[in-house]
Amino acid sequence: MREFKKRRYLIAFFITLFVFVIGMLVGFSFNKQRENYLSGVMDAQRMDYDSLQLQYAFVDTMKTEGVCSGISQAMSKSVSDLEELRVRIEDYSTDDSFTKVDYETLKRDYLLAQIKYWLLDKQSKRICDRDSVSVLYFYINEDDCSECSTQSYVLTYLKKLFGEKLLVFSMDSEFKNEPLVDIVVNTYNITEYPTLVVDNEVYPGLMESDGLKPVICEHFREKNENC
Amino acid sequence: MLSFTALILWITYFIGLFILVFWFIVFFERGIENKNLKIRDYPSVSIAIPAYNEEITIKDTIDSLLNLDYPKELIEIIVVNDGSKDNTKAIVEKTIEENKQFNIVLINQKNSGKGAALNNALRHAKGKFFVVLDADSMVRSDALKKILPVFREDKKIAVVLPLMRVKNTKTFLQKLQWCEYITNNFSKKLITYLDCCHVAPGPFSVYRRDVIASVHGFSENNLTEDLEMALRLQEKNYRLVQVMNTVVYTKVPVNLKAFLKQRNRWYKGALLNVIKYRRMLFNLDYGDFGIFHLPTVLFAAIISLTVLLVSVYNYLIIPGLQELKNIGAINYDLPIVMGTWFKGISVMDFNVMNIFLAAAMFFILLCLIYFSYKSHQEKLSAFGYLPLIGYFFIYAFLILISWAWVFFDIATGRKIQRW
Repeated sequence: MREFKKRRYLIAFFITLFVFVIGMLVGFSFNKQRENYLSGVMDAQRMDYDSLQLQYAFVDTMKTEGVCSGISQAMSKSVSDLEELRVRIEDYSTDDSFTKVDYETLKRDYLLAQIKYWLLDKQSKRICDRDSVSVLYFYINEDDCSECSTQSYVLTYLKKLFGEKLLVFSMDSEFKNEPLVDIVVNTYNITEYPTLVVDNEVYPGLMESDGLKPVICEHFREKNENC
Repeated sequence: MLSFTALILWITYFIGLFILVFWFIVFFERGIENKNLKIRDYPSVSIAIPAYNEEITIKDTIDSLLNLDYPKELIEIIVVNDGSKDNTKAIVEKTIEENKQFNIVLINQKNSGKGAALNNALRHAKGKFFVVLDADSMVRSDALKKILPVFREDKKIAVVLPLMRVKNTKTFLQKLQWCEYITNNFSKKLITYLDCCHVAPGPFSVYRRDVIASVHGFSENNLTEDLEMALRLQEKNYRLVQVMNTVVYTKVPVNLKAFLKQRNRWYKGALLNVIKYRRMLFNLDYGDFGIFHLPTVLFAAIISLTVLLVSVYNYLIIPGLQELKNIGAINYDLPIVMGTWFKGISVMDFNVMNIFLAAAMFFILLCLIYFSYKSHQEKLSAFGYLPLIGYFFIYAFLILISWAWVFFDIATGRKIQRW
């Protein structure tokens, strides 16, 4: 029988384990940073929302003229920023790691913000007489809905095309920690994913740009140059 | 939840890091011994050169043997021409004619492969030691004087191996192989500390003749008879030792096609021979060799290839197909979306734990490479840093491609090559 020193293997194992544990701790503390960073962005969003809500309330009460266009641009930017935030939250929460931080609270915060912005958008259209189209996008986890990823892509493309004239509000329909999500889903009787609601009209199933673009164009009051 | 792919990657990471740390510990325990034992007596030596279509290099190879600093009457050079179709035979005959004072023998045989050629030489050999020298390798004049004293140290030493260095370094691929041979010599030195060497390469491996005769010579019709011989010797608990104080220069493939073909033969041979000697796998009777090194040889390739395929599928093919589907859904109107592809990347998006572990692995690897170069008295900047960077980042892929080809060949039952 030949020599076999267990000691060497044990030392190697514990050093490897030590490096892994250090890696996990570094990862964990960084993920905490991520969570703080996203919370910070969320707080800023909340403030933006309060500001926009006040601006619309002010315009509505004082009947101020000539400021609507500026507010609409700010509104559109906030909704786009919110969408970027959604992508980040989802990326981080699916990031394969042992040191996953719970993103549920952030997701809930984000969903509430989406719904608030969506409601504000409805009010603001009346106040400022804005010619824009709002799309409510219902999706579920990409593993169970391969077409949801494509739908997101199509919406990003159309958002890029129409700019501030198109507002997209994304809704993770599987998120059960926020009862309001269920209320919105039930209001529009959503049963399949992806589903789009364009100014209160429901369009179930994947809509490619060829199909969705005319629907959006139809909802503009004035003719849009991209239609 | 941790996905299945991620779990596989983590386990591989852990095993990879463990192997590196293990060898690092061995290095710290032993350092790089560079003993210079003095030769006391001069035993007779038979040097076998199996040759198949080697007209370009055979003369230089024989010449390097004629320059050996060793009593010429104690050296027997046996060239076995394995049915070459070129001028190998004529060149060897001419060399014999020109060097009558040396004992050079030419044996011509019907093309039967390298193992058969070596056995033919073994039957004619009279020396106490039997040396194998590939017909494309050249040896340094001090080789025998440096190698033979090592056998004095232990009767169980069956083979002693010199450092293998690359002779031709014209192309970038050859420079990469130059880097590889340096690190391979170093790792072989560490491996022989634990008596785990699993291959006695063709260029100037020196055997005790009675030992290889007692194990009935080389395996014929084996893809890698040198590896098979090493495994057979390991099975009989003989020792293989790497020395650091003498060098044999060998030619390496000049282009990718030749390189992949060579590696295909080596790795296929390694795989089939490890399977042939599987009874040593995880067998405590064979110590570190059975428990650790042989499983590493077998599973390193399988695991790395699996990881590569899983990663390519998961991170390249699936997202690629999704992207194609997405682009189709917007009627290929790419200019509009192109701007969004690289937008919004934040430092927060990086997976810091992965980066940390990769950096740890990279650091240990870099240290081992540094010590490899140091043990060869070479600078890291030899040929500039580009080949070294290439060795670090490209070479592993070439090796994995070779392994993928091996598995493909085995799966499809493709014919084996003999030379």
